[in-house]
Amino acid sequence: MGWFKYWLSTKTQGTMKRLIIILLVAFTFNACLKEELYDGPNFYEDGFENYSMLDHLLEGDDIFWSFTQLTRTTNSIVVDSTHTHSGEKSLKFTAEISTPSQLSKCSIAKQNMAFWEGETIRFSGWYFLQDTNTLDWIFLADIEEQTPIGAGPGMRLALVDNQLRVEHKFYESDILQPTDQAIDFPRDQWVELIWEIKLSQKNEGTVKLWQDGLLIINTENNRTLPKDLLYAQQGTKGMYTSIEIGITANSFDAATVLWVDDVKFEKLE
Amino acid sequence: MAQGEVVKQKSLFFEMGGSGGFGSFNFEKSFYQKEKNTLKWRVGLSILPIDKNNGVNIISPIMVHYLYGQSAHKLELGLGQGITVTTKGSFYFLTTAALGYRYQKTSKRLFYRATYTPLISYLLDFQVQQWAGLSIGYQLKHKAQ
Repeated sequence: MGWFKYWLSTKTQGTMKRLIIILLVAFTFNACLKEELYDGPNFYEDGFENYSMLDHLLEGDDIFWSFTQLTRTTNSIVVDSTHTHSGEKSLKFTAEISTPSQLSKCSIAKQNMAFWEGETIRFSGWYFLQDTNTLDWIFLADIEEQTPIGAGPGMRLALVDNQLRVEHKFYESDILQPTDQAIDFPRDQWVELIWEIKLSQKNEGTVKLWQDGLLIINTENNRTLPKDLLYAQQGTKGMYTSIEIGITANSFDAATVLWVDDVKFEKLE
Repeated sequence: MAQGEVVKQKSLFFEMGGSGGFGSFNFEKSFYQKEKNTLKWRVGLSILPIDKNNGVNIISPIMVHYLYGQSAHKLELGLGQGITVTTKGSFYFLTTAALGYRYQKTSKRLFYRATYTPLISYLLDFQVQQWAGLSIGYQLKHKAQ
């Protein structure tokens, strides 16, 4: 730090020095400010046992869940007991087929959480997807950042050719299962999904996905957080704040019924 | 032109890419001119649809540009703010900067610009996006004061 003390002690270039110090203080304040402004929980789990109707999940101020997306009047989310992974209740999502004029969404989200760059976020949950019909490009879980300008950039799990993949809601290629090891998503039965993401705005992130305990995606050197994109996306902060589960966007192939149970979002220590 | 004479030149230009994002229509006016040095302010307008939930972004780069040079070839430096308001009521802004080249023959009203235009986010996270723009413009009139 000798050079820094020398630099501070010199009397030349005073205006420039003051400007640099002001900028450094501003950036430091800026970094502290965002972590203070966007503080939130980094753990939540729910087996849906304590609710009797959907409204109960949305009570309070983000204590449980934050909002639902039901883009059709016939789409529904109900606390159900016909299929459960554990206990006596699960969430049943029923979505109409998507059309070019309107995506069919049927999901529930928890927002105002805080998973920061450098941390590893783990999402786990049990899914029961009814029927064996073709369902290309159905989305099952989204992890997003809430930004002042932009359409909630993040990452999501998609089913294509009945195989899971990770898709980005920013300019990065999809992450697919290795071709020679790719496996189908089991239907009409409970499937455990575990999705781990090390968060990085650079190419220093990792993505891992387990399906029924089998590691089907394992990649490194990924950019896993969005950045600002001209004026289309502004206010990214190097974090994820929102997790959405269910049928976050349905396929253009068929109506869908899905049960979800025992979900957990957590920061790995 | 005498030293210190202010020539309030007004111009319109379209910038592809650049400080307005994907493209913007701009109005500029000079407010200071001395020897080889000229200062101009500029305000632009650009529209960018996002989606149903976010509506349409209305974008306006507001900048001050410094031009150096007496001939047709000029060095250009700029600094300002890019303001975004959406039709859904959101508001945000970032810093715009410009470093480039402007070509305008003294006898002509058409001019051309090629600029490096980084967009600098600073409100919640410091990010610099490398970006550039090409412009074609038309000088509206000379008004010596």
